[in-house]
Amino acid sequence: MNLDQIAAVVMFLLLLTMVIGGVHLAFSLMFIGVLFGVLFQGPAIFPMSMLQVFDVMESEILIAVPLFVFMGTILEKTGVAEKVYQGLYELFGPLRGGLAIATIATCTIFAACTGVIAATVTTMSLLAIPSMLKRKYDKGLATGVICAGGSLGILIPPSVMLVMYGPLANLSVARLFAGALFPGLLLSALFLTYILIRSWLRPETAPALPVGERPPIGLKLIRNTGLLMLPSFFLIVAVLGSIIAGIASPTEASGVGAFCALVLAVSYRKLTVKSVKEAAHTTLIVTAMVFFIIVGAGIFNVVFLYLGGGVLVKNALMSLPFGKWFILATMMFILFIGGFFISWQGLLYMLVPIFLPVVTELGFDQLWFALLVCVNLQMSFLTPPFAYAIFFVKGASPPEITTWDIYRGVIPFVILQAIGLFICIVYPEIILWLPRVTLGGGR
Amino acid sequence: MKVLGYIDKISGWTGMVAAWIIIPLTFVVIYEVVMRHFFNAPTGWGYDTLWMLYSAQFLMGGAYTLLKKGHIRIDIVYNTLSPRGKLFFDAMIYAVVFLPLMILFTCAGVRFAAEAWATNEKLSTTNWFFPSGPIKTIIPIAFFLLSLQSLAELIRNISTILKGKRS
Repeated sequence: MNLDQIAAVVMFLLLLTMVIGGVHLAFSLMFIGVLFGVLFQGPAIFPMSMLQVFDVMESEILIAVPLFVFMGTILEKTGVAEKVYQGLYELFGPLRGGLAIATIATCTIFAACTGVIAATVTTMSLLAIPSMLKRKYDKGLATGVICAGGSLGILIPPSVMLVMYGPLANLSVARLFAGALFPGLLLSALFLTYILIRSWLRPETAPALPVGERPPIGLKLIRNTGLLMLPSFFLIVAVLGSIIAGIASPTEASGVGAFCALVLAVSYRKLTVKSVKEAAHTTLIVTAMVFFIIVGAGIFNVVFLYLGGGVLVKNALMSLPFGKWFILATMMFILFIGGFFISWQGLLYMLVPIFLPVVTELGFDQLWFALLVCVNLQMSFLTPPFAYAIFFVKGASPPEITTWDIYRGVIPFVILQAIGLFICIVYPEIILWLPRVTLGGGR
Repeated sequence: MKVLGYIDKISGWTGMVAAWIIIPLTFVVIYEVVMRHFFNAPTGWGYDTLWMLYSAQFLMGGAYTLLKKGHIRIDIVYNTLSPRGKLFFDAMIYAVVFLPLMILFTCAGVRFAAEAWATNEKLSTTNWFFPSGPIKTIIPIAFFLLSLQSLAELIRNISTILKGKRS
């Protein structure tokens, strides 16, 4: 190791200390980047930083981020999730574990309408936790289901995470969206299977609706459920369908989605100046937070790579024994462990850029690897102490739910997510089939 | 502290302007989509307008997001500090990390924008060739607003610490 490379190691460790220590992620990245830039490159770091800012500004694809966030926050206010849940609640209620099933199904549908997890998790906590507690569901199961289901919001496209991954790895966001659909549905199916088996074995933890409260089964019930779900399906086809079919770019679709959400809000008579203003402000905060991280990571990574940090990590990983699958497993394990302490944005922007050259060197498919990372990061939402989904559920649930209930509840779901990740590694076609069929080869 | 109130108001006001940009952003995308897919006549100015709107939004929103504590931080270690410890820690972050960095970026931004104005530089992203000066000017403005808000947060923390001592 030469002096520059030692500096790169120190740089990364300092960043890690600052971030874990509680300094804002975006500004830690900028600060460490500029500090080492000044030390090793001189004042040239400042015009270079401005170019990084301008680079992020000029990006066509990133325009989709605020629009997808806005779409999600407007949808949250329209109450479509409530309607879907109400329909599925009646449909699945008579089954053991029915409310948990309805919750996962609602989360999956809502995930295909929104690109962030906050909207899904908060809405579903307020909606489903009281109804599950009322039916004497196990508290761990009730909260675990929402944490796991809600996290699907950022995996199942449209997804802000995928929009951010695209420019980072020079991949087409449309292909990422197409690739993410089946892994997302796979996780959802694993969750459902687990709930069915668990509530069949231990019905007292997830009882069916009492006979008196069940709606009569028949055409009317199915028609009702269908009608309640229609607007969401329309939205999914318009936004997701047009991207995956290759008709519209993700940016175009995000604008159409935001517009459709506004139209939906008008038709439900939920569109007021106040609700739009709230949604616009929430969108601004999420957007600015994310973009300052992107700018900070850009500055950090330029200096880190200049010092030879990338080569260093690459050499270290490539020198591992037991071949390429062990190296892949190591990278996945680092992401998993990082997920306990660092937010997904941090993992994405700190680790992915240094992993990418290794992936190329090993001859793995970049699209496939991207989706493995995103499935892996699903676990980071559930693994404490730093776990987004748990924060949101805790914040939105009644006081009788303790943090311990939630911790206990998420464990089986983290295991299920790990199984899902393993399946995606063993059967890469789950990821690669849809983008190849609808969007052809290439990147 | 009167200054504090003023700065918070400036950030709040610029935040409100930035937040509402999402509406024109949505409608410009729709207009562009309709022109392109239904009339086969994409506009020349659409894409440039879009990215200028979106970048103005997130840049101008930086200070507001700081005011609203929206910039993400990992609080697992931070939460173990006492309320007083948190105030000291935050004051240190604002004094050492935020304030110097944002002031330096403001200066760098002024140079970056001044160069665009002086050379009458045009945007090269499309064939519209709109001057690049105006949008580049947003960069120093954004970092200046962030410097102000960092200063406000610093003052707020210090004055709370001092108040705590007196009572």
